[in-house]
Amino acid sequence: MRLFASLRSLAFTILHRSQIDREVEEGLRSHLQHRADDLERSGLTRFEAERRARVEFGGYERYKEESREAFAGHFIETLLQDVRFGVRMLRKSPAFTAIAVVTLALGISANAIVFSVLNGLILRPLNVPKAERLYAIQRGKDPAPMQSYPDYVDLRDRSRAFDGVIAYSFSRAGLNTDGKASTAWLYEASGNYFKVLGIQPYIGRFFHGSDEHGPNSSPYLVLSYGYWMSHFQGDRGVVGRRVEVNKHPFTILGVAPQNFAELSCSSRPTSGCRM
Amino acid sequence: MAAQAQLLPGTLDLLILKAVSLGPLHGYGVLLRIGQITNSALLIEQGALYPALFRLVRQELLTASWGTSENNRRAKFYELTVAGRKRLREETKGWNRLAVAIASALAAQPEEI
Repeated sequence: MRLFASLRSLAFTILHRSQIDREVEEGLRSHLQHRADDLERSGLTRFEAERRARVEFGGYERYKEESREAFAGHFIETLLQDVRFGVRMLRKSPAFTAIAVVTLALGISANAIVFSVLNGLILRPLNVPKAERLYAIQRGKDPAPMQSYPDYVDLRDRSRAFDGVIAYSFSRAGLNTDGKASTAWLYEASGNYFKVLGIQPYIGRFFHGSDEHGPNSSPYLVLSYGYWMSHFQGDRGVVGRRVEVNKHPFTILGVAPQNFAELSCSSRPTSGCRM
Repeated sequence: MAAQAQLLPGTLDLLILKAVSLGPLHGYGVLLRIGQITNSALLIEQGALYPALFRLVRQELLTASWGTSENNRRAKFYELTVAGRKRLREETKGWNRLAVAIASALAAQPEEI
């Protein structure tokens, strides 16, 4: 309850600053008036007496500020005392302290995880030029913007509302690099993906719209920077290498820039094209 | 007015406690009382009194309450608390020890060493 009382006092200090100022100022003014009364009795005019009283007082604003601090410091000090008291009490009951600490740690870490997922999925900036001009195309009221590939081709070729229309989907695939098998998150993207987004490769090259001649026509792979670093140790010789994706041969064309975040996803998958 | 001595740091609080111990006073009254009991031998800037007064109230050595002065003006009156009286006793002892030690040191003669 003591902590509560001093929190109330602290709130009082913050909320009633003007009241504290008034209290201090009234005290100082009372002094000046009494001094002026005395000086007036000694024969000065009231005006001259008040002036003299102020001069004798010294740095009025300085003393006002110091008094204010002395007056208000009280609440902060008791708060500190209570914090020390709290720490002592916690030390006395280690079981309670441990449970409280674990509970807090779990709560905070759960929040941190939720936030980092949200951050990756929704809040992370796209890091593409003119991100404000990107739109997701959605069919009717269906919240998932899934389209069939022929519909995409129609939109891309016949719509004049956009400078470009890209398509991508997201899946998990088995990768075979030099006999080493692993799985990775993969973006399957249309050939114009990087050109429309306006991204330049970190090394190598990207695939282009002209690489694309219908489904399964362009078995090219672009690695994300993170994947390149973690699985190929940043080896520049990776360009031109052959890997197998779900048993189909693919050629690595290049590596995407470091700060490029694939559209709407938290993981950093490899980027592929086999439209 | 005779030549005035500068106040040593920390002595203002002691003087205020002593002045108020002789009877409740308002702020300006504290100044007058100190002047009276020191024969105006000490130079005290008047404003310096107030941070010290607020501090002593904060330390619960003084209590303060608003009242009306002999000039019929609103003024805050200060009174010594029990803790304040105890502090005054301790500080007085400490000060006397210090004063005796300094005085005897300054009075030392070569033949006494």
